Amino acid sequence: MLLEIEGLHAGYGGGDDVLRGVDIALAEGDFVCLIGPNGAGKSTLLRVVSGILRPRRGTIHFDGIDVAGRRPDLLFRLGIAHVPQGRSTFPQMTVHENLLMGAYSVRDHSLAREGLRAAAALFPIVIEQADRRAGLLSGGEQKQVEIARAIVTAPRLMLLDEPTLGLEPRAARTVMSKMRELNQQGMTILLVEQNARTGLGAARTGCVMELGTIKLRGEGQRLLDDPRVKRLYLGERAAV
Amino acid sequence: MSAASAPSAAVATTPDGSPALTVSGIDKSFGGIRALTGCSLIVTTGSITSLIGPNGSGKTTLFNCMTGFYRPERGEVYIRGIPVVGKRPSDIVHLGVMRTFQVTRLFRRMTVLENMIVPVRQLSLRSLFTAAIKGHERDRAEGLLEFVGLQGLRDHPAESLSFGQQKLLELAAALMAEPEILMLDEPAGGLNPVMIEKVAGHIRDLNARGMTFLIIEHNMGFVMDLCDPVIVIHRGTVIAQGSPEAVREDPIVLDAYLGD
Repeated sequence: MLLEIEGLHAGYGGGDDVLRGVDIALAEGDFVCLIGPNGAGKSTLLRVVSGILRPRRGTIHFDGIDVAGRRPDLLFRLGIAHVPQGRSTFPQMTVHENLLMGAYSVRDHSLAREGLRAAAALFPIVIEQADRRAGLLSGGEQKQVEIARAIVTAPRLMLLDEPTLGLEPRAARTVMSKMRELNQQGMTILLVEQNARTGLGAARTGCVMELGTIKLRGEGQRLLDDPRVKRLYLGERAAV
Repeated sequence: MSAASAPSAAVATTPDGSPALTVSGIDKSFGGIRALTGCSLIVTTGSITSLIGPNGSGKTTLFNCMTGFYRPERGEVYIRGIPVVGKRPSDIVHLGVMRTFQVTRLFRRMTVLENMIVPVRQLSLRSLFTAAIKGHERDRAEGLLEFVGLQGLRDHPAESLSFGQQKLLELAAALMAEPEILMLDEPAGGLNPVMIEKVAGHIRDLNARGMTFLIIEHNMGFVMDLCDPVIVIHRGTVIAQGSPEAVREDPIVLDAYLGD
């Protein structure tokens, strides 16, 4: 297993546990979509895996190494990239400079150049708009820059928190198809998506999270067809 | 409608064809970039009107011009016939218009319940900090919090909520003020699909009781089920408007926004 989490508890400040015993495992090449009600702990789980939030209890193994509680920069060097919710480009920097920020940890220049080339192959926008200030791009374009920046170092695990949030339908479809392409190239992806039909449709596996635990896991399409999942988590109507 | 007509205290109970909001020929630029160009639209009293369009088309800028956050360089905005360009956001609230934000603007250190009370105590800042939250006010706040599933988090600081929960809190707080006109900026964004349906149902109920809505949203299922008319904005100007069915088939809209 590339990522193995057992009995994970975490929370903020002096507050209650938001994660209350999460067990989840991702094999190399998996594409898992987490769905669930607002406040279930989906974003919190991603924050703990990338080291932004320290766990209170439980174990996290990445490629066999115990990584629970390690600093985010160390986890990034180990190959865990996190594209958080909302906008996270450096708006005053150009698109190209944003990408260079993604490569900051790569000391070998030829490797960095290779990473930039690979990112540009999947996201041509980083070449087309290289000299524009990132803050002037549309929401969908900025999200592509963020994902491109995250893959410059060729991470082994990509954590994506609602990449389609606030995007027009066309841009959301583009971002989702890029996710699938990345996964087809071998990238392991853990995706949080409220747009559950789109997310489960793109991912191989779906996990339903509720009240800080994983309640259900199954093939994405099977969850989409499950009447109970539909009623409790997907709603009756088609979204987007 | 006369620009001098007095604000009506009563909430309309049916769409009567009179404009709740009128935007007339608005221009707004940011450092040489034209965000809105001669933008005009009418929101009919009693309607659930949607404003859709690509990212960067000017939707939120228009909201900001309509609610006193931005001052347009040209054009006028009328709320029930009263010109409001140049007025402050708080003046707009007093005319019965509330709005929410794409990225929530809550009082982060205040509790969930305290955030609910802010919109109804806006007339007196002192009362906000001195008067206890009790009686009818508290019942209403707790009822709305229960509706959005946040009753268990009543005494937690707003900053401890997830993004989706903050969106729900902002919506509930806006409803506390019982505005005549409610402007929502991406109300479905970041919400679980089941909650989206619940919110849509609540909007329908409030609309049946006379509340007028103007809603920016990218979730087309939500828009097409709930809203009529749909106004499409592209590059700072309205390019189409009509029923959801008509807009969905409009080649100009397909080209600019909806199509592949």
